[in-house]
Amino acid sequence: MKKKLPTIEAVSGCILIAVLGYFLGCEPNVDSMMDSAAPSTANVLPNGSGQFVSTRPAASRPRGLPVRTGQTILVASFNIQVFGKSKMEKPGMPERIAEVIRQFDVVAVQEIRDRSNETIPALMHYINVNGARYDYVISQPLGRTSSKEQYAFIFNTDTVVSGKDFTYVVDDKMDYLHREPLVARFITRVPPNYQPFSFTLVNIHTDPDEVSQEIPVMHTVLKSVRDFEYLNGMQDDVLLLGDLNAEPHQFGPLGQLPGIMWAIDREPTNTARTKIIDNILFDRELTSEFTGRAGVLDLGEFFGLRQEQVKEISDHLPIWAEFSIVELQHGAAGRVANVSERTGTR
Amino acid sequence: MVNPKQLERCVQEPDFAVESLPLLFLAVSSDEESYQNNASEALENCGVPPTTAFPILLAQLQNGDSTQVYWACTLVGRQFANSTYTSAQSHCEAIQDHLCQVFHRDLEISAKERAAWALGQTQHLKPSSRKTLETQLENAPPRLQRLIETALQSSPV
Repeated sequence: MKKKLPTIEAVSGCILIAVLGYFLGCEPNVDSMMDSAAPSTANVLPNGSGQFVSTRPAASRPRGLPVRTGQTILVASFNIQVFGKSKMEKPGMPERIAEVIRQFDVVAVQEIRDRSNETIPALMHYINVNGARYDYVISQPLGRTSSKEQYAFIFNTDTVVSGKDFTYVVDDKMDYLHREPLVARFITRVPPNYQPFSFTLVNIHTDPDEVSQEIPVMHTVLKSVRDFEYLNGMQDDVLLLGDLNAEPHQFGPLGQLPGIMWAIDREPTNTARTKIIDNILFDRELTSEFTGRAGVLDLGEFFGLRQEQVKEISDHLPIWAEFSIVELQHGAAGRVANVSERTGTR
Repeated sequence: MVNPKQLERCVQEPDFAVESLPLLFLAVSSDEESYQNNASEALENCGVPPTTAFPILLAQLQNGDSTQVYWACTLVGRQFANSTYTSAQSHCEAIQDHLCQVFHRDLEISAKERAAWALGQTQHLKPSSRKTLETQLENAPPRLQRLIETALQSSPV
C-alpha cells in the first residue's frame, strides 16, 4: 500500500521541496530493518572489553583505503560517467568497476544511462562472481532531456541492510532540480545486543549548468529529508553524497548549516585532478559514527593505470568515508582519527 | 554519419568535443541510445564554445528538435556567461532573437526553459527580448516562470 507522506515545507521563502517518494511496500520502519539486521555471517563478535573483534580474514589494504577490521563500514560515491551498455562491453571494464564497488559497503552511483535497465544487473554479476553478496536499489530515469540518468545504491548485504522498501525519490514540486535525489535507508549488521548504525543516504547529481540554482536549494533538500526521516523513523544520520558539481567554497547555505561538514576538502575528485566536485556531507555532531577517515580512491594507483586509461572508466574518482558499525551517542568523543588522516572539515 | 569512436573521444576530450559540435548535434538526436548518451555527456562537459561556433548553434536554434535546441541554448548561455558585453555584443543581440523564437516553436518545455536560462546569462536583454519574456511569463509553469524572472531581473531595464 502506498503511504501518503507529508509535504515538507522549507523554511526559506517559497522553496517547497516535498519528500513523497515511491515506497514500494510498507512504510520504511527502522524496527523492521533491525529485525533483518542480524548478522548473516558473523563479521564481528563482541569481546569482554566491549570492543568488536573482526572474524574476517585479514585482508591486504588496498592503496588509499583504511584497513578493514569489521568494526567500520565504508560509504562511497562514484559517478561512473555514461554508465551503460557501451561501457559494460569494453574489455575488462565491468571487472574493474566491480572491483571498485567491492572495496566499499555502500556505493552511491550516479550517471547510469541505460533505458534497458540491464547495466546494473549485469554489473551485479561481476561484483558477486566470487561469492560476494551485494544488492542494489535504483531510481527511475531522471532528467530533462531524452538522455536520462538513474541513480543507484549498491550495497554489501553481508554488512548492511537496505532494499527498495526503504527507498524513495525526493519530490521536487517546484522543479528546482535536474535530477531529484534518490534516498535510501541503511542499517549495519551487528551482533545481538549491539545497536546498529542506521543512516540515510541522499544521492545527488546536479546539473553543471544550473549549479547556481541547484546548490542554493540543496540545504533545503537535506533539511527536508532529515526532518522526514526523523518524523518517520527517528533517523538523524542523514548524509548527502554525490556529484555536486560544486567545490566546497561554492556550497553557500548548504555549507552554513549548523554542524555540517564535508568529508572531502583537499583532494580533487575528478580524474584530471583539478576539482573537488564530489563530496559526502553530514552533521558532524549527529553523525558521530564518522571515524574521521575519508578520501578519494586514486584509480590510477589502484589499478596501475595511466590517466588516459582511468578516463575510460570515468571522469570522476570514487570518494569514500568511514563510519562505525554501531550507533554512537551524539557528539561521542574519541571518534576522530589521527588528524593527519582526516580529509576535511569545514 | 555518426562515428562512435569520435563520439567516445568527445566524451573524454572536451577540446575535441568543441571542435566536433556538428557531430554532437547529430548524435544527440540519434535513435541510437549510446550515441545520444555520449553526445549528451560530451555537450555537458565541453565547456564554453568559441564565438566561431555561433553559426552552428544558430542553425540548431532555428531548425533543431527539442534536444538539439536544448543543447544549443545551453552552449549559447555558457558563451554569454563567459563573455564581456563588448566582445559578445554583436553576436549576443542577434542570437537573442533566435532564443526568443524558441518560445514560439512547438518544442518541449525543457528547451524553452533553457532558452530562458540562456537569456538570463546575457545580462543585457534587448527591449524586444524583454518583451518576449514578459509575455511568456503569463501562464508559464513554475520553473519556466522562475527562469524568466531571473533573466528579467539580471538585466538592467
